[in-house]
Amino acid sequence: MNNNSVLIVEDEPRIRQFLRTALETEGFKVLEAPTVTGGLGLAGEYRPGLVVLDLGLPDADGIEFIRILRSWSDVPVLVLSARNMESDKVAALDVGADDYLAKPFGVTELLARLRALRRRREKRPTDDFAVIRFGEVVVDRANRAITRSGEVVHLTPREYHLLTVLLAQPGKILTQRQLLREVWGTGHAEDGHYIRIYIGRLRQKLETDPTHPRHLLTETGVGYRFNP
Amino acid sequence: MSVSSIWFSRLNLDNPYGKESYVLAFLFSVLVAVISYPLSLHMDIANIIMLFLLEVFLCAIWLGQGPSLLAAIASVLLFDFFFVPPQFALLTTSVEHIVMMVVMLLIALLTGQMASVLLAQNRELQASEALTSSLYRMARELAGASSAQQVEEIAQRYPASAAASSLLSIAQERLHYADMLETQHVQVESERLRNAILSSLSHDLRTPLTALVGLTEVLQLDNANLSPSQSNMVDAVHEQSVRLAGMVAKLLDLARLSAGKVTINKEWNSLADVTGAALALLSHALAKHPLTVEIPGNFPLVEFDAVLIERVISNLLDNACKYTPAGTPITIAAVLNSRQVEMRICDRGSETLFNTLMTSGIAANRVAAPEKNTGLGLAICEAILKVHGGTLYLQQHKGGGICACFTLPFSTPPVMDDEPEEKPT
Repeated sequence: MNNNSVLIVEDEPRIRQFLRTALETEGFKVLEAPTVTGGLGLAGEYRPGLVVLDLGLPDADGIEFIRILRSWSDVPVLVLSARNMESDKVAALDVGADDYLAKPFGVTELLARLRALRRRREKRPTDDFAVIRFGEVVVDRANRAITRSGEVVHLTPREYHLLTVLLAQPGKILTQRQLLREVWGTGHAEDGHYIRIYIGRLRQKLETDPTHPRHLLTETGVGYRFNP
Repeated sequence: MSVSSIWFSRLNLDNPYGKESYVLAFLFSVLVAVISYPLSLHMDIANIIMLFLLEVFLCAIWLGQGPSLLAAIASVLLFDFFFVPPQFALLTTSVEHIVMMVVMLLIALLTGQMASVLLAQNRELQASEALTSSLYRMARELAGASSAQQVEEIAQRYPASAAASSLLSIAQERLHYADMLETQHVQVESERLRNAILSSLSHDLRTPLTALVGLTEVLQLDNANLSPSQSNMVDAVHEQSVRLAGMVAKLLDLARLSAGKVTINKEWNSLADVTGAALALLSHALAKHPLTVEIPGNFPLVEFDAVLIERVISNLLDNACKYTPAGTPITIAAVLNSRQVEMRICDRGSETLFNTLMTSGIAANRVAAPEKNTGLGLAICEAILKVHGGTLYLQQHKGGGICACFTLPFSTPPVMDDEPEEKPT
């Protein structure tokens, strides 16, 4: 595993050019591939620490790249989508992408996302503390106890379950389908409104300003993300 | 036809050859009398009766019931006159001969009747067979017809009947459904094609813009080697590229929304949720304005396409930020009426914009394009609300400024089982 390397799979040379410059300035070692086949080859050979993937590639769909990559690797994948269709982002996240950015994107934003992905990956094995703090909220998973500004907050079992699923993967977008499967089980794939109601209740109970949430964030049309 | 109907069937005086056939029948009887006269010198008159009976039978077959009746009467009279002694007189005293003539008359009538009934039956059968085969041919042609016009033509070529008209209506129904299917198919195909074109156009336009935005941003980040004026120029190129990218995105949205039938992804969504997402997108621009959000925590879910409505809210908020001085407050409120949900995004100071928009015609539900691309954003909002069955309108705020309001149709959201709160352990 080469933690400090980034694989860029993108067919447009100009985009690869500024990505390489920006990533090298940031201290990453950069690998480039213009096709799905080439990208999979490099990913197998060099085992990069991060993958930046364009969805519209000439030889195959980027979704296919993630599906194949996920059969042997859990390297974080950030998807670049030129298409404005939310369904593409959802499809990419559902097969195992970790984050996405819509083109055109800011380089600063991209670097911030990549740093976050790398941090999450490095911390994961040691970060399983029972207690998580965000804002004024303290969640003690060992005792199933939650306080906000020192006051006890009561959650229903479902609300608690949904919260812990989101907390387990800070920063990662969880699609509606993933959350429904995790919290409500299979057979509820079409019941997206459950999540919206429960997220609304969690915000009422946990966010300082529920209409302007800081921690339980919506990716409209895609899913939800816990921002510590 | 049963045997009894041979006796009771109504006398059918119609015949295929008109009045002449009565004359023919009479002449035929006379001819038989003339031919059999020399024969009567050599044989018994009982045999002559056979010839007359044959003649009546043939008349019935060839000329019909009426003429055969005439032939029977004429034959009996002729037979009586020329053959029954005393010859050349109608009177006879022999009981034997009277019985013979009565039997002959009855047999003649009966065979005539039978023959004509059989004939009529045969004709009926032929007619019904002709009708059946015409219907069959018509059905076959109708099955092959592919337009209403062809159906019309076929209908004109065949005689009208109940069966024919039911065949016609079946054919018309079939064509109607085929038409509907075809239209639907064309619609789906054209939408698919339009989306494919827009998707590839979007890819082709965004790729160079992404490179442009990215390359200039990298230059900005690493500008140690640039002179201040060069650095300014890089900033300007970056800013303009970002703006161009925004405009391209809006134009593509508008193209997708305003061309024909649009498929939207309606789900039960939370307005608070979508508003929160829009606020997060615009957090940079909104930092300069005190913001109040008045959406009650228990506000019901509303059915809409979250991505599109988020775009409406962010476009309206963006306008509110762009056209009001820093520090002026912005309020977002959701109100529930019985039939619809109303969202109001109000600011305190975009009077000029309001006047421009009013004169440019948004009040009359027509969006022109005033300065700075406001029109494009509003046109997108309007198109989005139109596909949702909602409306967009602007109002002048009592305390100055304008309210951009939009409505969405409201119906009762799905019910969900509640569960008790967990007791802390």
